[in-house]
Amino acid sequence: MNDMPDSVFVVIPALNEAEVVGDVIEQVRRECPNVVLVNDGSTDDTAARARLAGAQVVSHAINLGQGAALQTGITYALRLGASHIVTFDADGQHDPRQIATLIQSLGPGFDVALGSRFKGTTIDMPLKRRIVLRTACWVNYALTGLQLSDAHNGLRAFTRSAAQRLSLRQAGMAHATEIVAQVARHRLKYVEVPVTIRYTAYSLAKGQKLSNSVNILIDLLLKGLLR
Amino acid sequence: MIFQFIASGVLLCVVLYAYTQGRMAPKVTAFAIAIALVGEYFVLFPDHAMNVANSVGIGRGVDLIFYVWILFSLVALLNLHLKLRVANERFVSLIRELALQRSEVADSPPHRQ
Repeated sequence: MNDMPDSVFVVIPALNEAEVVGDVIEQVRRECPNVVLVNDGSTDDTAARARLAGAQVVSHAINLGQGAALQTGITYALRLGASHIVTFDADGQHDPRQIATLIQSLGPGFDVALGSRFKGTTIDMPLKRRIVLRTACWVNYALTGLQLSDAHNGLRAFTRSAAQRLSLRQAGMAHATEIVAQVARHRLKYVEVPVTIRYTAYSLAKGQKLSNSVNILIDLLLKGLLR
Repeated sequence: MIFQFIASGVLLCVVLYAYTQGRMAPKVTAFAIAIALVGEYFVLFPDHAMNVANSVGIGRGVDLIFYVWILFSLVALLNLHLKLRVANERFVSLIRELALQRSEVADSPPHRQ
């Protein structure tokens, strides 16, 4: 274990990740002992394996979507007194050692640290995904005004005050853009941190389909109408 | 003449139902009653629909009614969709809060007898 503050919490949203979630949590807990797994209506043993690996588990009665799961986990961590909150994917794509890097990046006056695979490293990333993510960066820029190098990276860190200002209404995958939009709206100071994303057959099968990009865009536009 | 009776009866039902919902959604009620009354007018005086259609560059009154019906249906569909999204947001908040309360109950120490 490194010199990570005791009150750092890692929030992991998960849906049917029983195959890998135990290993992921064990690796994360070597870096940070406080892990909150939000079981988003899984129908397999995700919750039980997460508990066995030492995570605190919060379970949605039904599947709501990753955005809702993240907001639940963030709220839960805040209620437990978290000073910093890190969001982390359950499918093993992220490197737990980079949690410390993100927290350290918040040190000099930043509110939010956003992981960037394009400033860091990608391993076995398919070309189609690269193209979609690059396009998503431009869509993000058009909708939020923030020009980031990576649009949908689940590895992020927030200070407590920044996390308290987050209020995710996008239950599904459009939450990634919503987070960036709220960073811009609340004028939070952010920094992009190079991270490594490792694509595996498992993570690619579990990851969202490219066709879902259109649904995300429609979600964002309709949410704009509702405001 | 038979269809005019049927259509008038249906439109009258729409007006009555909309009237009963007035407190819950006054704008929608007023809109629905106005549309139903205009519909009733054209049912009773179909030639007038033709005149209105001609004045806006449509050949037949029936085409005018059809186009307007499509437009209103699309607006109603969008309105319903947006309402569903709002209802879904409330539903998501409810499930999230339930999950948090359950976890707090599970985390709290047992009461001593």
